[in-house]
Amino acid sequence: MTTATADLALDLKDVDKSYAAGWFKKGVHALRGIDMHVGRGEVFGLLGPNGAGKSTLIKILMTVISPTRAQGTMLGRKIGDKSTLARVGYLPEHHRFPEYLTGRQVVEFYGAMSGVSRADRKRRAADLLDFVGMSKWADTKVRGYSKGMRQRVGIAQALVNDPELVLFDEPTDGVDPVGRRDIRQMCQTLKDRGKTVFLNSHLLSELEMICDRVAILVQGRVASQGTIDSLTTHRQRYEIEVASDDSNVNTSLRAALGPWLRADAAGSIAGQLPSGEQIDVRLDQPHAPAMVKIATADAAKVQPLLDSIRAARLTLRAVRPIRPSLEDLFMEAVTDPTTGKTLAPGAKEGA
Amino acid sequence: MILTQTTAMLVDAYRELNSKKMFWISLILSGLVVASIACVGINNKGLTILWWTISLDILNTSFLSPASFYKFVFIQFGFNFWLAWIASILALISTASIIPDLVAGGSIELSLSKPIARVRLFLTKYATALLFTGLQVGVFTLASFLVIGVRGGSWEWSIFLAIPLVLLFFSFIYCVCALLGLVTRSTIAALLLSVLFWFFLFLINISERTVLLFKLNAEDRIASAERELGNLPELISRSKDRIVTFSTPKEGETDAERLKREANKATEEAKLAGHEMRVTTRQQSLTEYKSTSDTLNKWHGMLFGIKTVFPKTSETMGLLERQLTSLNEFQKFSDAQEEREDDRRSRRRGNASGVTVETNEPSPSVARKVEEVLRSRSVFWVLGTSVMFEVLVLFICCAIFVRRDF
Repeated sequence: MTTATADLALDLKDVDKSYAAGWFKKGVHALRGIDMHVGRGEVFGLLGPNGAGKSTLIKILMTVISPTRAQGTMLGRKIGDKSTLARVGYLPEHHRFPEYLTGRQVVEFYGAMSGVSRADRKRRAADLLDFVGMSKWADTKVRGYSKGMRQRVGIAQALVNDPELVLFDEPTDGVDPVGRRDIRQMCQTLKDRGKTVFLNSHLLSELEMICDRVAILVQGRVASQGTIDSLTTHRQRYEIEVASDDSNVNTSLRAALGPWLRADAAGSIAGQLPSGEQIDVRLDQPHAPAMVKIATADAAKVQPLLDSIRAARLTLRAVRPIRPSLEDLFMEAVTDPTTGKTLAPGAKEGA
Repeated sequence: MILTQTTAMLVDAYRELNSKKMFWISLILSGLVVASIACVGINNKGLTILWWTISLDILNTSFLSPASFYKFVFIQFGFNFWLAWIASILALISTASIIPDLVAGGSIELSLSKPIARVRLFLTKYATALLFTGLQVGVFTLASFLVIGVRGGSWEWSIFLAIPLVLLFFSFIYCVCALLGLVTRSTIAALLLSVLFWFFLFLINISERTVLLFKLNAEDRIASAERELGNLPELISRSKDRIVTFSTPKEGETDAERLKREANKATEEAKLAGHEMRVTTRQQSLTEYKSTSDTLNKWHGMLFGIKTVFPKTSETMGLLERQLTSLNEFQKFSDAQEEREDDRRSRRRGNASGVTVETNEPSPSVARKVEEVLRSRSVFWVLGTSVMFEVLVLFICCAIFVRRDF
């Protein structure tokens, strides 16, 4: 095992899953050769539209589904190795705990199933129920719990074996804002304790707040993965908003940016900086002021354009550095570049 | 780790059963059944219920000892009726949800994500269902043992055979319930289809027994007809000799003597004709019986073959009866019953002239032969082939459970 692999909690290579066609159903190719790397001690977010294969991937890792093809390791052991699961915690998306058990019994039962000794699971159940804020209801039957309380107990049971890697599938699903904040804090605490947290969630803003790295899954493929900074740097841009107090603003702006512009389309003008970055100009319209967008994160490269606009005696209303959000990244990933339409949800049919 | 996980699953099963009122209802009902058996007794006058005595000619200590009476009541009512039917149905209702609950979405992900092999997970869950029945039967059997000991004065240790036998009997049905629960993921479907399967076994068993009874009856009739055909030539020859004797006039025969001789001759000729006619009718009957016997043999062979493949629930329960009682134990009691039955029959058959009418109703001796045949079937045939069926079903279950994506 190389040092690099040893540093990885998850090192997936070519994970593929096809569901064969049946009498009444079509075959589905849910995962199409997933390559993914999750470092130890990081919080990793898995994003994707419905049916992208996120839960399928997690279920493969947890041996709930067998892959058609899979290489790679989880905590240094081959994918599908049952003994590794003693070191992994898992909260399924739509979990269902036995209604006749109390929260404490749930945590202790799944602790025992993970092979935790009686004394340890008793102690850890008490600690974890406190950690997830459920001490007060620890001895109440699960049937009396709200969705949020069940989710908290679910997190506690996922941690009862003191796992090195925790996989949370939609942990904030159905949880109120206070609960979501608490779950976010729990993830941060787990990270501080050196645990690897693998999150699958639709709530992009939350993932953005806590994830070190993310991967976006679209139709069974990894569309992009990396740190949020690395994924957004080349998408950062500057926006220059020009005041429309002059009736000749469009002519003046066109003249000022003339050296950089190359084509004139209806309502918009495009161009390029000498270093190759894209310039998009939106001319002044009744309800939208003139706007110049420069695809660069480098402020120095924007200065010549600003100088030229000022020289043309146009008023600058705002100059803003724009960093795309995770949502922008996500939307970009799920948009067909040729048609500009959002890709249909769900996995691709056929093997 | 294996011990920790298994213990956790057993404790969980106990908690689940504990949360289901059915477990306690079954246990209380079992207690009531044993208590009601304890309330019934036997003395020299007849049957006693608490401090009342019901005088019965055929059911008193002259025919049946108190120990035999309690064994009889335990086998017929406690074992064959309560444990084999009511308690088993209650157990099936209580445990039918175990496998569908295991594979239910949201629950199976949690179980499979633990470091436990799928086969072990499934078989342990299966075993927890049997634990339910084991507890119920254990309590019932212990209470029955005490009742037979205290009230009947006989400490029958072999009664504890009821525990493994009922467990086996229940497992033959429950393995099918588990398979159906796994395939359909529905408790109701699993339960209803299992009861249907049970009914199918019951039908096969009843059919096989009935055909066996008629087959043995036909064999009995063939033997009887052959015996009769064997005797008739001698009777015919004797009649012929007498006719020759009565045909020869005696010297100095008076008119009265001649008339008497001719009358005797006519009687013998009528007898001869009767015998000759019986030969013809018996030969026809024999041919019919043989043909019926052949058909019944064929049907019985087919039913026996089907029965061999499937679990033998009735015979499994019958093993305890075989172990606890001998055919002779209730001889006096059954003889008395038979006598009454014969009486009733002859009253029904008889007419004014006293001529008996032949019926197709099997005689009590044929019923006893059926019992002998059933008792002669080997334990391997009863349990071995049934267990093989269960193992096959469990193998299919494990194969499905291991290969399925949840």
